[in-house]
Amino acid sequence: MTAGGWVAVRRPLFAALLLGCTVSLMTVGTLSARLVAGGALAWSFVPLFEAASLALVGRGLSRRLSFSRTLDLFFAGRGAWSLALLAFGAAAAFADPLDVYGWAATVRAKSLLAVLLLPVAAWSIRVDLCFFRIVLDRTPAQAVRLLFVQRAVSWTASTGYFLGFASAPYLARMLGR
Amino acid sequence: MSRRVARALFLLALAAGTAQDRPRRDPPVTIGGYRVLAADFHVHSAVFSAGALAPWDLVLEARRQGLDAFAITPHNQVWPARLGRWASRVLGGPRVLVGEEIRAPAYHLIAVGIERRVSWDQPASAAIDDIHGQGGVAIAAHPVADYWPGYDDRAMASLDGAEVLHPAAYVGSSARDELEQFYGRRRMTAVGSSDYHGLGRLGLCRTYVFAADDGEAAILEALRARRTVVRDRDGRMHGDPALVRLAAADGRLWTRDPARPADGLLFALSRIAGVLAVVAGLVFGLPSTVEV
Repeated sequence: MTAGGWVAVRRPLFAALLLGCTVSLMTVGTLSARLVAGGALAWSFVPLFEAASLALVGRGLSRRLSFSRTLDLFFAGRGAWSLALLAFGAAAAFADPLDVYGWAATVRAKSLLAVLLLPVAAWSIRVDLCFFRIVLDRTPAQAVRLLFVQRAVSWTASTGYFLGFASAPYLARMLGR
Repeated sequence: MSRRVARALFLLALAAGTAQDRPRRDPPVTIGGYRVLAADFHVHSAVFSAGALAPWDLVLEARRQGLDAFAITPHNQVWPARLGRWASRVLGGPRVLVGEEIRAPAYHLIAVGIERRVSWDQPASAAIDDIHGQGGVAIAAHPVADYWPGYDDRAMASLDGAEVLHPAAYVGSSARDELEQFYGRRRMTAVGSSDYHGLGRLGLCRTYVFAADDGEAAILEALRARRTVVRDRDGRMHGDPALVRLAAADGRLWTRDPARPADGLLFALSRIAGVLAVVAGLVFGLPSTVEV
């Protein structure tokens, strides 16, 4: 692999590895090779869609950096989500499985989880806005627009992939079928 | 230096965690002339099905949880379940049954033992007919009161079973009563399922199936014949009354209950090391320079 190629993939691979570690902590409470590898593979769609969405909105926009380096810097800003994931995995590792099930089973629990994620989202938005402004040389307004489009693309793709056909009945209902 | 330490710590934690990640080895249980199988008929995988683990990882995890059989039940599709069945054959079990969670706005229905997708865009009774037409078994998924209107008289008459035990029974204040009320409407197969998506534990709620053997046909036949026993954490049981009495008198079945969370100093240290290793990896594992 070329140096540029490695720069492009090292942080996305690290993001996938972290997802695998979270899956392992959630499942067996420790780091097990089969679950770290399997989780990283099964959840690699997250960094893939992130990278693809950046390629879609950001390609050619940096006048000073290669796309590899742009991608590397973009993934350097994943700290907020990485820490949140790790905190979730660590909490699950030490909790009773039934309690862990309950974290996403009731409206109250989901609301609490959403509130806990607000500072993470705010931190991540701030870092990404800095990325679009400084790395891609965009004005504040352009940075906001790019961030919105990038997140809309990557989150829609990731959610669609994750939920699969479960959302079909609800989409059909929304579309008036 | 710190990066080397972080990597070493990560590898050590990985080695310790991998060494502890062993399958349960439960001896086969035979009661009343039946082979009794620990099963979970409601499990979701990653890949378009809102689960955390890939189908092949589910097979290994089911083995670790001491399950003899389980059904992978993707939402409104079957192919991840077929992938899981293939993985189970390659990895040597436990047995995977192809299933589907038919997720319609008015009802959620588990199909077990099918080969083709059953459409969600039809009434529950028609979906059940389709499942039966494929030789499968239809089980009402977590039938709390919100889903009751989805089951009309015709659907209720043809339904094979209902989830009388589900993790929701331990979490919601009314869920347990509602699941039991639905199950009590008519004589049907008692099923306990984990509805595993990645949170909680695979096989956390399970069904003991009294089958002629451990083959798929025997499991489906036992489900149709209502030869199941379900036991919750408090020791309350549901299912065929004669089999409930047999199982209670025998007592060996409860050795197949879900494992309680492991304890002990080594496991605690392994968990702490695992978390620390990922933190260290996060902080020191990659070049921290972000100069543009």
